Amino acid sequence: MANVLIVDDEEIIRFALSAKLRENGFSVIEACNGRDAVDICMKEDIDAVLLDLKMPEMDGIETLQQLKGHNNDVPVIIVTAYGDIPTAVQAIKLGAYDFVEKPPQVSKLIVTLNRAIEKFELEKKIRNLDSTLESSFEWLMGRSSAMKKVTAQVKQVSGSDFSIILQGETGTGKSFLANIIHNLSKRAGKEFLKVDISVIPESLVESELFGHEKGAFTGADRKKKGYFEAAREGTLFIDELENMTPYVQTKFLSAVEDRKIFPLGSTRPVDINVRIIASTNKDMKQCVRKKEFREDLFYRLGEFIITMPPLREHVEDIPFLVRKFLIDAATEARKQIKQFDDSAMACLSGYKWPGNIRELKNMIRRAVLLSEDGVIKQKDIRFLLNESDNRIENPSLFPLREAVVAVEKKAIKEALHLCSGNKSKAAVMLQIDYKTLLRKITDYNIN
Amino acid sequence: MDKDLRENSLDEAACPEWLEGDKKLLKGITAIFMKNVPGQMERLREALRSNDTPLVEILSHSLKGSASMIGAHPLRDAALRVERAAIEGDLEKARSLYVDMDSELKNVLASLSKI
Repeated sequence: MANVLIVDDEEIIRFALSAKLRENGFSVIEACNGRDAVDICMKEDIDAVLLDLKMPEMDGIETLQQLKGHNNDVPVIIVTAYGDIPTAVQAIKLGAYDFVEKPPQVSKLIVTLNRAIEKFELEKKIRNLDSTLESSFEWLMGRSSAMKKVTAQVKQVSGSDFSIILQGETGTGKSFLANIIHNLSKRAGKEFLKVDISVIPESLVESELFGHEKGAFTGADRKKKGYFEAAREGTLFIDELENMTPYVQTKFLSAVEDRKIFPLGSTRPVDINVRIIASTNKDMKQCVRKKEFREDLFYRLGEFIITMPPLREHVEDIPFLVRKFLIDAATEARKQIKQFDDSAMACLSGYKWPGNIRELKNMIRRAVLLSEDGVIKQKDIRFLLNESDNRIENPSLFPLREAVVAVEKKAIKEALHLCSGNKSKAAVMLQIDYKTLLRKITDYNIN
Repeated sequence: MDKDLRENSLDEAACPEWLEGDKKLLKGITAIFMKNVPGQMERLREALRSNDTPLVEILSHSLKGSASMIGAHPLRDAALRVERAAIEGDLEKARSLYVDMDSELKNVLASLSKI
């Protein structure tokens, strides 16, 4: 039952309006002056106020200003006397919801009240959702100023259909963020498809993205929808954007610009309706400058760019992230692990985390697995952090790609060492061609 | 009711439009009107006599509201004229208009007393 406050110095008006509102299912509180009205609004849960304008001492305008100051969203309906319309208009400008003239036509007053209360309720719901969203974000992302900046950007852009580029070092949570953006968007109920361009053989990228007709190429024994079609009305998340070849970039640009694709072997265009979110661990502007990435595609996909900070730039989130991952890891390992002690936590905060949040998460999984009592201490994790290549010893604790990179890096270093730095000999030893070795040396930053 | 009041006659069948035929409520507001309004008129007369312009404005405004609640439009209009005179600071005019207002009130009270 909605609670309505009637504010009028005239007993006859309070009496009549109260009777009519109660008859129509409202709960009514009366105040005979502005000061009492403000007090009541501060103490009671009021859904709407019917406010007289001309009252002794504190008039309706001052009462309205004070009510708005204390409870900004409670709808105020001005009940204005005959001939007082200009003042009522002034009240509307000050934030009153509407006005009715005395004596109000009851059915019209009820409609106005119900609309005002409905609007108030909706606004309350939105505020609650906003605050739930805020705390969900904090829970998902962290509370540091760096992450709050990301959160603010996500809130700004998620409701739109902007294409987004998420950039940041590996392990900073770009895929996770892409998923959050999708879930906050109007496309939330539809597909969220992730495409990692780097793991699709170059010869198949076009077919995977755009689909193909039966017989389009050798082995195409049936028609197949590509990611663009499969993600219809949803979100297509392109991971490792920087690995897109120039040819695919051209095809991709044409698809997002024309909102049409041509499946391989087809001359009939297919309309597409997807939002593109792309991620990269490179500085795409630099890739554009180096002519490694098409400028027009970069601007098309980067209508909004969010940069995920590396963990070393928001170490204040580490205790929070540790608690969060500890719960997940303990559940996964079916162990009762309560906490990291202070020394262990200090050790985590001092570490540089080159693998960012992913590395922290995996480290916690491993520490939980190895821990024998309920508290993880510094000695339990020091060796993890000092171990340069625990990915090689415990590859199953890491994403396969990271483990493969670690093994390749180690093999190349050893081969170069054994060949006294001679790259040709090292390439022969590793049974890869010289160019591949040079590329990997550059990619892995091996001296 | 408007028509009846203008003719200074009020019967039980009359009811302001806004009350949507609720005679029980009409009885209630009529009782409050008869209880409060004569006293307010007396205070208004005093305020005019003592040149208390803000009080004249407030009281004539209140009387205007009460009159409109029972559908006494001639009284409401007379009260509005007094209120406007007070807003303009012309208490001489307000005093002369008060006479009309008092006369309208007497008509209304006479009609109401017949119910």
